[in-house]
This record gives sequence, C-alpha cells and structure tokens, in this order.
Amino acid sequence: MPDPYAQFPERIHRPNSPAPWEKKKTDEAGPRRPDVDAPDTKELLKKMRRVDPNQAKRYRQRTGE
Amino acid sequence: MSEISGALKIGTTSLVLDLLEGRFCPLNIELADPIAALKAISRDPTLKTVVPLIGGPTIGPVDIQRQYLVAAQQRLGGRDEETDWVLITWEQALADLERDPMLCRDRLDWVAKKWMLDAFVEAEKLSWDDPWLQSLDLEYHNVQRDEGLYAELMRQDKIQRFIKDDDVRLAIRQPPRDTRAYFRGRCIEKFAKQMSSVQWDEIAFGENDHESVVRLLNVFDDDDVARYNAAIDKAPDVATLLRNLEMIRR
Repeated sequence: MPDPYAQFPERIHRPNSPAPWEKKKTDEAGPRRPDVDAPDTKELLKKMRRVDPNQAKRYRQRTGE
Repeated sequence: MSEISGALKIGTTSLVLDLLEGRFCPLNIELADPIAALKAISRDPTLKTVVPLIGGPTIGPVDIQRQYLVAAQQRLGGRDEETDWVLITWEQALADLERDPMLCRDRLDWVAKKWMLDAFVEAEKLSWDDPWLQSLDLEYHNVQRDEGLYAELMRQDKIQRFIKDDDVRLAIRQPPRDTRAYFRGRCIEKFAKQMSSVQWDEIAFGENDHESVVRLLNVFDDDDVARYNAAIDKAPDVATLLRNLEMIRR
C-alpha cells in the first residue's frame, strides 16, 4: 500500500520538540505566542484562486443535500 | 484539521467530564435557552454576544468557558502533565480570543478559515454570499496534502503543530494496545480470510448459517479490553479465539 505521506511537501525543519506535556528546556510552558504581525498572504491567495468556485455546488449535488 | 483544535476539543471535554463526575462543575451558569445560546454564539465571530442565564443576568462565551477552566485548574491542575498542557493551552486560547480572536488563527480552525476568507474577500472584492467562499470552506478540509488549504497553512508554517509525521505513519498501522481498535486491527491482520464483515462494534466470522459474531459494543472497561486483546494476540485460529472470548464473557 503506497505511503499516503510520501507526497507530503517538505516541511521547515526545526529542532525536535518534545510532546507538549513533556517538560521543555525553556521556562515557557504551553504553545508559543503567535506572531501578531500580519502574515504574508500572497502564496495562500494564489492557492485559493485555483479552487473551483463550483466545487461546493457539485459536492452538494453528489451528497444530495 | 488543526492539531491544537483537536487536542483542545477532546482535552477540555475530558476535563469537564471529570468535573461532572466529581460534582465540581460550576453551578451558577445555567443558560436560560441553551439551544438559542449555541446558535447565537456560533454565528458571532467577534465573540461579543452575551446570552441570558436563568434568573436574568447575561454572560459571554469566553466567560462561560473561563468558569469551567478555573474549576478544572482548581480541581484537576497538577495531576499529570497532559492535564496541565490542556489547562495552559486552554487558558492561553481564551485570553487571546478575548483580546482579539484573530490571534488564534495559528491554532483554531474556525479562526484560520475566517482569516483566509477575509483576505480572499478583500483581494477578490467578493460579497459574503459568493459561492466561491463555500468552495474554499470545503477545500480547507481536503486531506490531499497537495490540494487542501489547511495543508497549505502547514506548508507555510502558519499553523502550530505538535504531532510528528512519523507518529502519524505509525498510528495508521498500529492502534493503541488498550483499545478495541487494536482488537479489530489484529483480527483483520490474522484472520481476514475468515471474516465476513467488520464494523465498529462487531466482527463476524464464517459465512451463511455458520456465522459467529463477536460483539464489541460493551467492551470498553480497561480490563475487558485487555482480555480481548490478549485473546486475539494468543489465538492461533478463529475457533480458539471464539472459545477464549466465550470464557471471558462468562
């Protein structure tokens, strides 16, 4: 059976982080604070434009909603 | 889709169930109309809607959760690291939601989706009833890694993760040993040819008039699950498995 994760895109490699409930080396507990600066959306918008606008309508027709 | 969303959903529900069983739930937040409150809150992305309690006062959604959070911190905090992680993550999410829900776009699916759709509406000059937005909503949940929009957020490192891909690959083939999923998986692995059907709550062996059904609906006690899983591990054939399961049930 083909590995469903074989096509997973390259991730940005970071040092291995422990499971969230394991003790971290730093004093900070819990998830890191998000970057509150507005993130770049250019690539995301490009991807979103490729989504077929009629996809939801076809899905409803297939599922009979 | 979001790992933090999923962990918070399961984690907070588990803690609230623990509070219920221990009779530690806050008693002063009985909603006057829970269904109407659910609808009103779910339709307000600003989280500013207040809903009435029995007796007259009103309360906002973040405050409802905060009361349960405080009860959970007082009663359950410190019992194990997983509980503390849920409590810390829950508290941080509520604080950010109260300050500005968009601060949670890297953790909560509905906020990530809202943020993406807001950006798209502005860029393409759409109205909110444009069907394209419904298609984008759907595509967020596409599990194909090269197509889905959630996958794109992961690729761009815009969403927090804590599960390693190797653990996911392992989990596809190896369910936790203390679950019925383990029993089902091992039955398929060892005796697929003798099985006539498999469902969440039962497995049928044999065919036609000679069918034997193993029912799993009420097998959720830790000891029962352990006995069933030991039985499937040891059984050299279906007949032995069925015989041993019959002895367990007596």
